Order: sequence, then C-alpha cells, then structure tokens
Amino acid sequence: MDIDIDDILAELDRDTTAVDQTLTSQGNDTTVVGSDAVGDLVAKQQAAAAQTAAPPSPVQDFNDLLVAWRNERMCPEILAYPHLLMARTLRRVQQQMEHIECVSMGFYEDETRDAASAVANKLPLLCMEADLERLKFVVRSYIRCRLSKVDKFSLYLRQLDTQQPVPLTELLSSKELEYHERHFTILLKLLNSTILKHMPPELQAIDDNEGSVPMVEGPDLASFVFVRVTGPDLGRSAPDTDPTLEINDEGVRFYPVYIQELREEVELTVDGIYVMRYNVVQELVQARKAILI
Amino acid sequence: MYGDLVNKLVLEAKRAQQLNESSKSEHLPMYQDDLVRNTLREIEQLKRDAELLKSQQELNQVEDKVARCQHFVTLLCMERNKRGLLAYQKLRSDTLDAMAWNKHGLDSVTALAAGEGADASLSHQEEEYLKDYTQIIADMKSGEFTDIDLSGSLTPPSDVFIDVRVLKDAGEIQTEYGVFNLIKDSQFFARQADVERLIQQGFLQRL
Repeated sequence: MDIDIDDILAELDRDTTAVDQTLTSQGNDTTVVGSDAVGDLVAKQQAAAAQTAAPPSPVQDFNDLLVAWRNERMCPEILAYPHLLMARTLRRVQQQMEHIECVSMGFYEDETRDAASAVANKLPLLCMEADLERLKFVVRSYIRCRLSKVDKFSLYLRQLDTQQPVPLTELLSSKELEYHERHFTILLKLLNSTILKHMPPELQAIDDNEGSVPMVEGPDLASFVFVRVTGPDLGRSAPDTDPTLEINDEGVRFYPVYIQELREEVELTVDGIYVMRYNVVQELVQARKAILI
Repeated sequence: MYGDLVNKLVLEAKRAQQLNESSKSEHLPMYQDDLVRNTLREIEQLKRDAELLKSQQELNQVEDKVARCQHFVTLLCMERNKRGLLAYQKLRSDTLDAMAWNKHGLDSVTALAAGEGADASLSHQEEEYLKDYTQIIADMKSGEFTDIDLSGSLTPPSDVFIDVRVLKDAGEIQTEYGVFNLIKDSQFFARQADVERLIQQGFLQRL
C-alpha cells in the first residue's frame, strides 16, 4: 500500500527553511524599512505591506520589474506606474553604487599592503558593476518607453476624466506628470505661435473631436498582442484560490474570456501562448495572471 | 486647387521622415516658411468666403440648400488645411524631440545648438521649443532618476570592457573617471560605462 507522505516531508522542510527565512528576511528588513530617503508616504505604505506579507526580495523585485518592462513595451496603452517597486529599485541602485564605491576605495587601501590579493579580488567588483549596468539599462528603457507613450497620448491623457478606474496620479509617477504638463505646454506654445494664432477662432482648438477627423488619439486597445498565461499572480500564490480559474474536461486549468465582436468564448489554458486582441486579455494582464511577450 | 499648398507641405514632411528612417539619423530640412504662410493666407481667404456666404444667407432669409453646401465645403477646406499644417509642425517637433534625447546630456549641454548644424533651418519658434525641451529633459534627469542616466544608450550592455578607437579628436577630454589622452587613431581598452558618452558624441568608434 502506498502512503503519500509528501505533505509531511514538506512540513519538515519548512521547519528547516524557517530559520533561513528569518535570516534572509532580517537582511531584507534593513533594505526595506530603512527607506527614509523615499519619503514618508512610500515608507508608510511599505511598512503596511511589510506587515501583511514578507518583504519582497531583490530577486523578486527584479523579476517584477522585468515583467513590468516587457508589458509596457508591448502594451498599446500606458500601464499603471509601479510606485513601490520603482521606489525600492531606485533606492537599491543608489545603495549599490555607494557600496561599489566603498569597495573600490577599500581596494586602494589594500594595494599599498599587498597588491597581489587586491588584483585577485577584482572579479566580484566587476560582476557587481556589470549587474548594476544591466539593472540601470532596464530601468532606463522602461522609463523612456513610458515617456514616449506619454508624448503620444498627451491629449488623451489630458482628457481622461475622474471616472476612470485609475486616476492620473496612480497611472503616472510625479516626474512623468510633470513632464507631461510641461511638454504639452511648450508644444502648445509652438503650435499656437506658428499656426493656430492665424486660424479663425472656431478652428483654434487643438483637441477638437467634432471635426471630420478626431484630433485626440487614444490607445488602440484592439491591437493584437502576444500573451502568455501564467496563472494567478505569476504562479506565486496557490492556484486554488483564484475564482476565475476553471478546469475543463481534460483537467487543464484555463481562464474563459469572451471576444465581444465575434461573440465567441475562448479558453486560455495556463502556460499557453496566444495572439489576442489586447482588450480581450486586458483584465488578465492587469491582474497579473498573464504577461505580454 | 484648394489644399494644393498644404498637400505639398505634407509631401515635404513625408520625405523628411523617410530620409530620417533610411539614414538612421535626425536631420531637419529647411522650415518651409513660404508654403506655411501661403496656406495660412488661403485659410484667411476661405474664412472671408465663408463669412460672405453667411451674410448673404441672412440677407435673403431663405433656406438655400446650395449656399449651405458651399459654406460646408469651405469649412471642410479650412479644416483640411489646418490638419496638414499641424501634421507638418508636429512631425518637425517630434524630430526635434528625438534630437534632444539623443544628442543631449552628454558633456556639453549648452553647445547643443552649435553641434546641430541645422540651427539655421529652424524657425525661431522651434529654436525656443528645442531650448525649452532640453531644459525639461535636464530636469527629468535630476531628482530620483539621477543614478539612471535617462539619455544613455538604449542598447543593452553586453561586456564590461570594450575596444574603442579614437576617430577625430585630440586632447584630453574625459575627466570623470580619470583622464584619457585622446589622440587621433589611437586605440583604448576601456570600461563601457566610461566611454558610452564619448561614443554618443561621435569622438570614439566602437570596435
């Protein structure tokens, strides 16, 4: 007779790793709670988040950043700005830069004593620098991508009214909001001084939607995107807790989505890759049950 | 015909766009001052026509369908002209934006206009716009994004060290991480992060 003891073994495993977790989480606490540089609000939010869940590890944050970056680059609309994640990332970049600085200073002191060991230990420093460069590249690319979208949709963003599910302050970071305002102002100034000033008054509007062609270009939500279904919260939390997840006849877990214009229902199986209209999978992407690729 | 001038303007814009795409560099042709001004004059005339039609209609006090159609056509023509003008100007300003991002923030911010070589072809409103925009970018890069060099290279870094060759410059330029003595046609084995800016400025060539 076979007795399944996997759960007992798992419990034993958890006992041994529990010590490790406290150790690592202590290490993380210093990085997460020591957030005086980021501002009180963020610190408070983080403290609240830290109480409810274990503080996110740097590796997890980096993976989240990669997901956010990929989604942003592929998505036709502007996605909400991950305030907490970016605050943590930027702080880590700063800390790591200081750390590298300190370490390389230490090398200079060592070199006077014994040069051989200092040269031998260059490898970790190089790795840290290369890693930092890569992280900075991802952040840079992410921000630039968002800024280009802000430029593209600036009129549309101005017209977003308060009934939107996501308010503008959530959608954009404070820096991006400032950029959006100022760039729009100078662009309007340019157009006004060169062209619009000489127009008859009824044609001077820049956001005229009543004319033969609407002048406000919103995101094209019906464009096609490649999407990979990852399951609830990128497969981190337990799959049983998700109410929208269903199981079909062959025992495969899937999300049912409904395509409006075709009046057709589609099963998106977990770990499947699909080409879909963005508005069909929009909710799955925003709930982090699927990622764009 | 109505809108011919603006058609020319749009064609001009299209050509400039294709030129930029094919050569992978931002180059701004002359600002078509004459065409823009003539189009604006055409709009003014159309506007006068429309007002005349309107006053005639009120004078006759009859619902003349033909007159209304005439009025509608003039309105459409004005709108079309406006569209063309705005598209032309927006395309130019987009090119200016790209210029400001790519060539900006390297060591010599203030020398932007000098390095461009196209400043004569800008209208003075555009020069003002470019100046304002570079200011915005500079402000964006301060604050929380100080450590992230926003105008830096958008190609992912692969190696820590790379070989570079000096293309044109002579003299000591870089003082941020120690001095490089840049002599024409000499070659360096340097850290990528250090020489990134010099490559963007066109002093170094990557090997």
